[in-house]
Amino acid sequence: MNVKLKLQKAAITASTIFFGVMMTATPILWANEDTISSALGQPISDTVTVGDKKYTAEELEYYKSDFKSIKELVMNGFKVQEKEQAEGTVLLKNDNDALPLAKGAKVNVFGVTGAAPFYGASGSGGIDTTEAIGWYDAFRGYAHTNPSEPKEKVKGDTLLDINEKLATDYTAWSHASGGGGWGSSATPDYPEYYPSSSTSKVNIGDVPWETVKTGTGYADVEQYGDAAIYVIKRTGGEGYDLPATSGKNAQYGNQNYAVASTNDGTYGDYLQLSPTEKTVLAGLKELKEQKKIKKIVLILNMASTIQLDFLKEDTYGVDACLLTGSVGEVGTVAVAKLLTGEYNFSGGVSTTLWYDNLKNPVNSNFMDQNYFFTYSNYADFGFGNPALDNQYQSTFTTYTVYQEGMYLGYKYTETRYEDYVAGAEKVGEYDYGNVVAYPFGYGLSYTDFSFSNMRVSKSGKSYTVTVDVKNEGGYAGKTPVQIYVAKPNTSYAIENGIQVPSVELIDFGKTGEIPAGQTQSISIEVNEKYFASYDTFGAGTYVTMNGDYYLIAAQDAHEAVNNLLAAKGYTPENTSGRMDAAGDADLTEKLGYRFDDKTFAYTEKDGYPIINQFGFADINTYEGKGNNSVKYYDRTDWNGTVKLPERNADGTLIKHNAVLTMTQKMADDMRDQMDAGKVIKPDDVEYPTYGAQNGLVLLDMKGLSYENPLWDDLLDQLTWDETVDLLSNGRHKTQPIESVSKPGTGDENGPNGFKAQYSEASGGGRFNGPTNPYAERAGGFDADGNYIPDPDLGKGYTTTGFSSNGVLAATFNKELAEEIGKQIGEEGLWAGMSGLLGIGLNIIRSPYAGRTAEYVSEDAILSGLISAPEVAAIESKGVHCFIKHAAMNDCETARHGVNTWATEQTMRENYLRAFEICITEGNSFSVMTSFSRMGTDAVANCVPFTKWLRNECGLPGIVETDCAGDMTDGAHGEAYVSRIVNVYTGATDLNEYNYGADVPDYTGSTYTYDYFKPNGANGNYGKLARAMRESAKRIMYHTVTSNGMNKYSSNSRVIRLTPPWETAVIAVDVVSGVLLAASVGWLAATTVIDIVKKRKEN
Amino acid sequence: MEKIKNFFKSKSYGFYVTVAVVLLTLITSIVYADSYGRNERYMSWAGFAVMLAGIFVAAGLTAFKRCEFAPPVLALANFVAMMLYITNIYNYVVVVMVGIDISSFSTQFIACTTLFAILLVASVANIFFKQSKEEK
Repeated sequence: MNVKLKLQKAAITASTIFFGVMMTATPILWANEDTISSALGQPISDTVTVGDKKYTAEELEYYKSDFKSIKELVMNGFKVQEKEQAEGTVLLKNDNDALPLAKGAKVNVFGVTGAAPFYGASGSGGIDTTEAIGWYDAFRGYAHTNPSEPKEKVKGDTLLDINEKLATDYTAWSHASGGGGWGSSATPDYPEYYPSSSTSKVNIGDVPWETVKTGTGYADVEQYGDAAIYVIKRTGGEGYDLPATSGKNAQYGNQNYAVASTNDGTYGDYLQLSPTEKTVLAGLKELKEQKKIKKIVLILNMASTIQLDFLKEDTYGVDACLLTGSVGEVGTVAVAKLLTGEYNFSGGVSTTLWYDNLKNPVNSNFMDQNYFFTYSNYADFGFGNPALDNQYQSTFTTYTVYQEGMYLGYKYTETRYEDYVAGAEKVGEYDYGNVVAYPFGYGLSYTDFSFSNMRVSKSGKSYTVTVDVKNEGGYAGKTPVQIYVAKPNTSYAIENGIQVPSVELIDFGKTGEIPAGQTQSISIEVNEKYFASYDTFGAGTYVTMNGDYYLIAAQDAHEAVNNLLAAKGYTPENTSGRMDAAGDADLTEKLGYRFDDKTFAYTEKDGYPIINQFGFADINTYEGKGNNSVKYYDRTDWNGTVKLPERNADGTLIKHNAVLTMTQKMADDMRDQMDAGKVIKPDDVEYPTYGAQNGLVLLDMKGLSYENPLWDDLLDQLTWDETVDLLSNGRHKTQPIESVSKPGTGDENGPNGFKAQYSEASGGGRFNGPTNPYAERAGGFDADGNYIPDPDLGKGYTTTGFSSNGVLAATFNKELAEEIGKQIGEEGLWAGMSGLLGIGLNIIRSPYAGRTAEYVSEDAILSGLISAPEVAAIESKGVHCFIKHAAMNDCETARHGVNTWATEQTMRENYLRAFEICITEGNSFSVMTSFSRMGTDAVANCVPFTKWLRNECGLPGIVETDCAGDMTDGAHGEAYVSRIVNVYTGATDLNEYNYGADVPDYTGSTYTYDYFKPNGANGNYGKLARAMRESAKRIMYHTVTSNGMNKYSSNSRVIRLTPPWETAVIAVDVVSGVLLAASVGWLAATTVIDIVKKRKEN
Repeated sequence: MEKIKNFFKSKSYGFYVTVAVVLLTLITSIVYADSYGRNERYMSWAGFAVMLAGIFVAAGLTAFKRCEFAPPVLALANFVAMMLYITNIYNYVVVVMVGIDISSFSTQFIACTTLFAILLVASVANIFFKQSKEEK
């Protein structure tokens, strides 16, 4: 082969590869346009001013801040978060007044968690831990107290004098990085004590006692013997649940993890003490017996609480125990002050704390990462991938049944307890003390409170409950006052399948600080609508029943039921000890009701009729149920319906879950809903007008109602391409639209506040849409009329990392929730965010749920009523909340597409209510829907659910879903929704994903929006076009009512820009094409010349 | 028999590399289809088809004594298939690398990516190998 030919081959090969790579890369670059533009600092839009009219900064601030600078805002964030942790930390045990410790007491801090705290969850619930204060520093007295330099950790008075050598040992063992980044916590990676792989996606890890004894600090233990503080943690986060046993031993999963090790919980159960932790506790007990330490204080730094049998049984001589949740940035400081008595405890647990997690019946029907429930016959319908199913769950093959129905958490434990005490039939043996470690709402204080003189008055549809609270002890303090309702379990309820828990939290309040020995009255307004039960099979709406209702004041759920039992005449004596404590009948108020299916059958605000909507999600009423039938838990037959999980000797679990098989209709329903070709048919509906020149800008809509006809004129200005662009790009933002001068806006996680920076680039530099960080104009105008930015913009200041949402719930303090919400709203204003992808409102159905740190409570009323003032305060700053994940997304395992089955009463009263309260009372503007399904309906395409949001709750803004693009199915499953179908049905307006251009769905179809465009070759699809316009309107309504309009006047015009890098890519594309053509041309020309030459020679 | 002997007698070492590339293409296509055939989102059936088409065309060219054109045809087909593979598997890579779920690259992905990479290198190198002894 001659050299020339070799060169030609090389040229063609190289240019072909160059060209091919560019043709492949270009669409990928386009799809990531925003990310690249943001990274390069090249905006996709700009704002120009037309006309002569000048506006002052104040005139264009539709939402104003109460803060003057970033530093002031950051300092306030630290203050509010400390307050949250101070009121939300729960004291579970305090034998012999072990706490408070004296200020400056000499203590040993044990456990790797001491060096590497659990600050926040992973995934969307992550917080910035760069400025977080760890346990050691908090005890040493460090805090963010310098307003001139908020990041500085300033040394104050020593709170606890810690054994520094021991701290050094643990720091080395844990290899704690000291925090940083957006992760959940400083991640220890010491291979021996914190292995990277174990029996699950999470592991516990700690240093065995024998090793602790070899450390340099152990010799000084006695010197610091005032107390041993042992800190243990359990983490959690998005995308996985916590294992109840090792993968190796799992019944269904085959994760191929190792057998449980000493770094895992007993049996591989993440929510039990690990063998290593037991060695530490046993070692501490020994030290205490040897009188080398005076007391043992256990700190549970976790949102998913471990089972507490060891604590109740006093196995290790633990004197005091507190539950902190995840502690956020500075929660450790609050805990240190609680330990030393500077603050007093006033929190109550927001979930039931179990003595034994196997006594929690929900766990029979809760998937965790090693147990997933699949339809045994899914393969008959062509679903699943046998190569992957043992490792990952398909989006079409798994299900979970909320078989417990209404009896979740305390509604199970207390109801069965009441029935047991009352001697009801079919209760079975029920030893409450071996089921519940600490009841819902429980929490100790350094003082004692007594409730008395309960008064109830009624006005309209609300009751006012007033209670006198006396501080009986020697410390000043606050306490929650919980109000429960007990409904009559009537024959009507039994006949119609209405489940009636014994007591249900109906509202709550919190006293102010009460000095020792003094009394304070507290009045709590209770909405009567929560007296009503949802009657699916009788009236088909909310009803009250004939009989006696009780309002009960109590300090926790168990006290409430004992008060109820007392009101009904029961005592420990006349129940042969079945009743475990005397109740106080004076803290109850009996109210007679008649059957009423009208009063609560309409929404409060609009009078919209409330009727059955969700029968399709109950397997017993689902049209395609086939032979499936589920016996939900029933109060009249505890023995026959409750099936507790069991553990075999080898650690495996028997879950006794409801077993379902797939039917043809289930398979068809799941397939058809994502098939644009099946759902969207040609029609004769007229397309809307596009590209009209009506001279309106989005700002003209400010203050107008959603129904105002001027909207139509504005929407007529949109082009088809702009509409597609708006609907196709919504990952943490909404797109800027030129024709109506709609600015781009930024949204950011997460469930308990923002995780963003105050950066020069809007939205913390991560997104390329928002244009209004408050910080950019905090200094007002300079002489030339330009904004003066805050000098600290771009210096790495970040939004506040709050504690886990369960901590907020544990405060039982609505005013504090509002204060936190205000801080979050301000942070959005300053960071250029007009949307918060939160608050997390799913129900903590099981402690094994991975995202417990993001969610509030096992109780819907507590979740809703504590979050509503927070949401309202956030909204007041022009930050629209996308409360999430609506709804029935209560586990992470198989969250993509899991079929969730529940009764309508359960859905409405347990799982939808918190969302309803935050929309109706918290004014949440928007919603993020869940990945899961209700029945077979993907929630992203569940029309009845969206109707419920719109009609019953009055949701005005965007229904958004994560369930799009790369989030449709995780890495291993199959896509199961169509973004086009979702918009067509009106179920979803926007995807939390950037498609870039109008690309096909990932559903195996070739449908794009453009397939359905006006005057296209494929037919008339006016109905889809109108649905697209409606979604576009929702998005613009969301923007115009948000702080995204700050800085915009009627003279402002949004223009779209082509970022320079895009021009460069196009140029490179052209060059690659030219090179390919040239190299091929060269070879062709040479060949032709050779042929001609040869012919001439011949 | 004589014909076959003559056929192989006339072939240069490049021809045997071509045979190896054909076999590798076949293996890659089978592994690819087996790994992702049930996942429409990550599977490019067009890429799979292009690989098979490359094999058939290369075989045809060889049968019609134009085996010198087989390597570029195979290389082009395998390159196009690889680009289509990348286009489809890109989303998977994104999910694993930056997705919020905890996941790691599957054995299938590692196998397919390795095979495509080896295939591309071998196909491109083979373009420069002589296929027959008569070739100039």
